[in-house]
Amino acid sequence: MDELNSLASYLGVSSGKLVLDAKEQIPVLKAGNGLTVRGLVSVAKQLVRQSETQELKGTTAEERAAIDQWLEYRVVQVDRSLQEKDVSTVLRDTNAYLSHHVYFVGYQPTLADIILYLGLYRIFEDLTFMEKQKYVHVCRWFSNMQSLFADKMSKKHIAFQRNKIFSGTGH
Amino acid sequence: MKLYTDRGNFKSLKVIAALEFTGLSYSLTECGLEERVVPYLSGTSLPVLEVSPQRFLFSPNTATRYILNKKCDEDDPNIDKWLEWESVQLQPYLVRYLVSVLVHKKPDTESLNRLQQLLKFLNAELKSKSLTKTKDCAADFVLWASLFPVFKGAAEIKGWEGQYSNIKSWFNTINNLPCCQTALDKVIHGGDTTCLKASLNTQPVPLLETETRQEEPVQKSKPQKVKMEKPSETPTPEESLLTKEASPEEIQAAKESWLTGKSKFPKPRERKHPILPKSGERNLLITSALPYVNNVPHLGNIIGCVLSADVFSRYCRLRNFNCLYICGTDEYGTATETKAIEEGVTPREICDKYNKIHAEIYDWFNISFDKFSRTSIPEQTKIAQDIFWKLEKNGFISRDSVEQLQCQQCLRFLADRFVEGTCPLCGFDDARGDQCDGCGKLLNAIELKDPKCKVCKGIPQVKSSNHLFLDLPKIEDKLKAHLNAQFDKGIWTNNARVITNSWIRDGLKPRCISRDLKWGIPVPLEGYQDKVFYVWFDAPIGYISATASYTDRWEQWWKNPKQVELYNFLGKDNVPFHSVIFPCSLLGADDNFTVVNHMSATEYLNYEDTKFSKSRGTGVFGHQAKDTGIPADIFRFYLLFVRPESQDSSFSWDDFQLKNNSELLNNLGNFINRALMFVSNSFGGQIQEMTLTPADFHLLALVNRELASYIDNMEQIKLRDSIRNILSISRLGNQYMQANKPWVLVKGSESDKRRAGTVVSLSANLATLLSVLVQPYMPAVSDTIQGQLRTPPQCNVIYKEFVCQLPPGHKIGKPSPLFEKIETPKIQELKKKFEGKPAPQKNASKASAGNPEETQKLTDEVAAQGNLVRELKAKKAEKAVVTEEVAKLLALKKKLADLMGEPAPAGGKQNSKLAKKESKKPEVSSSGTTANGAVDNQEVERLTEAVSKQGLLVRDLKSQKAEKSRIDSEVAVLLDLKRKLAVAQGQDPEALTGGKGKKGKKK
Repeated sequence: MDELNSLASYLGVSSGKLVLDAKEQIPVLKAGNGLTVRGLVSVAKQLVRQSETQELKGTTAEERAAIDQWLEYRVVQVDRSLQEKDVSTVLRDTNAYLSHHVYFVGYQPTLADIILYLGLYRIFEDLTFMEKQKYVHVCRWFSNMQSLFADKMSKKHIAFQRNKIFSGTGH
Repeated sequence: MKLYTDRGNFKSLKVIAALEFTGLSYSLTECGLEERVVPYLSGTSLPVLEVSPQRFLFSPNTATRYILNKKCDEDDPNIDKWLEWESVQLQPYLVRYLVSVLVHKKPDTESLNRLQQLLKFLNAELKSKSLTKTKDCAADFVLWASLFPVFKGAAEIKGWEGQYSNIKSWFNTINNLPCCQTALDKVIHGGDTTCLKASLNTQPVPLLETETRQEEPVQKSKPQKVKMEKPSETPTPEESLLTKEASPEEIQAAKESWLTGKSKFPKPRERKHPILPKSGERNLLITSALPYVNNVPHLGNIIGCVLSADVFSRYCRLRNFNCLYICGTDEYGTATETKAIEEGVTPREICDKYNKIHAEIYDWFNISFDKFSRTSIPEQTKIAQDIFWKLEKNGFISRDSVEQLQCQQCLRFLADRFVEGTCPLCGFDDARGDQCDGCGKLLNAIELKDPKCKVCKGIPQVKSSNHLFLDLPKIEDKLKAHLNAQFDKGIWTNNARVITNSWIRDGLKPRCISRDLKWGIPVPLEGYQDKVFYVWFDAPIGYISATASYTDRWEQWWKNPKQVELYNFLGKDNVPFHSVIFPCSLLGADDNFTVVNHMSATEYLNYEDTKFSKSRGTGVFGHQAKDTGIPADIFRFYLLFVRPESQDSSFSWDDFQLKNNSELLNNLGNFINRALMFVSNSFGGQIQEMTLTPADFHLLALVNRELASYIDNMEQIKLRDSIRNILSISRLGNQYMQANKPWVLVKGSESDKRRAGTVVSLSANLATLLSVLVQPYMPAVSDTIQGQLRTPPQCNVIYKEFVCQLPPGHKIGKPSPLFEKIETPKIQELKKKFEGKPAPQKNASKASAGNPEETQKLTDEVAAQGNLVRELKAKKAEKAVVTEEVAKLLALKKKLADLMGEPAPAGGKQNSKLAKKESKKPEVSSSGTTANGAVDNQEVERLTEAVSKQGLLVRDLKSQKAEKSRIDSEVAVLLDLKRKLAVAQGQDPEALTGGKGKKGKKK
């Protein structure tokens, strides 16, 4: 809920009709014209639709699909990774992906970056510097994202090291 | 677009339906269950749509929507909503429910309840008969595909049609679309949803929602239950093996092979020499790189080729393949010749000596060559010259003159490694002829500045000499054609491919194959008859000559590429010679030679964290392994367990101990011994009637799975992985015993006893299987197990399924433990023994560390000279004589000090003694030499003499071990004299006595 409110204020749209379904703990947005949107991803996408920043949705069909799948990744994978083993899978996979990409999709930040930044925040808060060095690519991305969004979404900055401070871990 | 999916994955339904619906062209690639397609995802996640090369959609929902948008673009928030609902809410419970029904055959009511709630919600939302305003949209296909398995077939939720009428009409509309029927045909053939099982069992189960739910008061009891169940979902590795699922087909197959498999079980092949290829059979010619003769092989060399090839060929024999394993020592070349000069014997004698050492080592390691030959045999000369003539005739030999360094004193051309000098590139003054250790660049010997002969230090001169070249560029096309075919169908380790490809990519150059040496195969060509072949030209021909010395029908192996598969085992440093040069020789000779088909190249094995080093004595060398008292099989096992298959690995004693104690002793040894002891003690050594329960067949199915994987790994020459299969089987066995507790059953009722009989007899049969599987790795252990079990010799075949070899009534022998625990003190001792000397450092410390005798000798000389000086002085010898002797003494002392490295470390007895002398002598000598310039010459002279006299007296007393009181009084006199002397010389007596006092304490 907080995330969606921050997102709405970042996008400069009203989140007035946003409520939380008490039983299911699912955010619900009444978007007018009898349209009711349920779920974090659907609401986030709807907020973007209502905003001026359409480029966050992606410009081509391929980009939009790619954004969709990373949004889904956030809700089914990131949010549900609570055990250490799942968390490290998330970090390993995103790290591997971002070793070849600056942003999750395309060549500029999209909704996928924002939603994953918000979703991964809780995980990054708990990382040690040694882990941050291990997942250097996703950390680089995260640090980049927080310089873009943290202040506007009133998120605290997380510290990252600039240099390798631990010597090689292997043999 | 390309769709990757495993067989029977219900999540592919929607994607295929969408593809069919739009009529877009696509290709369908079926992958293995656990195959990874998306490079950045660490787990398996199928299906995956490859939109354009290397751009993947790993979310099937997104893929479905993307495909449909290709035809009719939408941005409908309602579709967002339904797709999110499906992935977030429906999937986790749907998959759990399907797994529980189709895999475990035990419907999970918790998931079913959740599903019912979700369906109720969907039914209510479907009042308007469609999900969204858009007809046939992504939401329709996605939900249809997910619900199909719970609406139709084996996992159908009974009565859903009555309960959810809205869903029913919507579902049937979608289900009747032709595209959906096509998709169903491809995924769920004949509507039988049990075919989804394997995929469901492998693909990750979606994670469940988080704790936020647990705070809900209404739900409280349920999530707690979920939480309680969690441990069973992620069991500890120890528990996981027996509880692994096996499909009914697997269990059925295991049952059949157990009950009736023995009739199909092949008879072991007799190993009758000479082994020759047979048509219609798999004929494998296995070679291990020929070890060079002038060295004792270390464990890294042994695992690198000889032992790896041995395991593989033993495996092949057990599989009843027709295989021949050959090896030998590589004997020709400069290194042997030089070694012979060093030792003052003939090269032949050197080779005889080392060939024997090698043969003994391999014998101890139980390497079962069909032939262990050597390259210095007449067959080698004949075949090498024959190949040469064919190459010459076919125009692949060219001639050129080469500038070489010749040593005028040794009267021979110097091989690269026998030249030293200054690096022309970086100026490093200790560069070798082939490479500079300073900058690491490869060099040509004639480029070196100030070259020197390494043997005699003479200055060599550049002379030109005519040589023969193998014209590789001309053969390149033939080679490429051969390799491309073999890379496709053969087993090549990654490093072998990469090294070979990089050689070819860099362009092949003519390669010199003659050398100005004596010890080698004479070049038969006129004008070159004073030369011999380059050792790398003839060494691989050693494989052929070894076969020729084994059988005169060797051509059946070597000129028979249609029927024979050639496997080369080697270390990665030898790859180019086996994959480029030797094949070029054979292909160029154009005589229908058998050319390499498979190549298994190992990486390097390190010792602890450093390299094996002969000169420093670091690491275990072949002949020393025997002296450790540890059986060869344990070494074999450990070396294969850490075989440097895809990256360098290292031999570590701690790990060696751990693997022996945990895997061999506690796992494999424990299981076999326990099973046999039970049969022996509780059932009089007799195998009992076995009435297998479904749980037992389940075990058999799991064993068969490991067995299949063992065979598969062996075929791929993944020798490390097969060991793990063996250990998994014995781990299964241990858990089986643990779960059935025969020690309890045997004390129970008659039927309990019968059950105990089944359990231990089945375990004994499992031990029989293990004894066969373990045979390539630990042949002696295998023999021991089979001796204890008295297995029939017919069991020694590796068959694809586990069959009952020991029938009821079979009497086993006497069981005894198979492995011994290795204790830590033993490991510490071995570690110390083989750690070797620290890497030599330059300069003085080298001598002191390396040469204690020298130090002792000089110390003695100093002492003797000191005495001489003292005596001379005491006798009032001529001053000139005394001065001369003193000078000698000082020179000796300086030498000693140099040798010790300046501040002689205190602590050792000898050192402290020395230090004492050091500080004492100068006083004596200085008192003598400075006497001339002193205030009162005569007085000084007199006192000096008195001091030295008294000093001698004290020393004598000490050396005679006189009474302490006596010595002390004489010392007091001496000190007094010295003080007087100091005063006479105008020195501060206190400084002296201070020094004395310290010394006294030290003593």
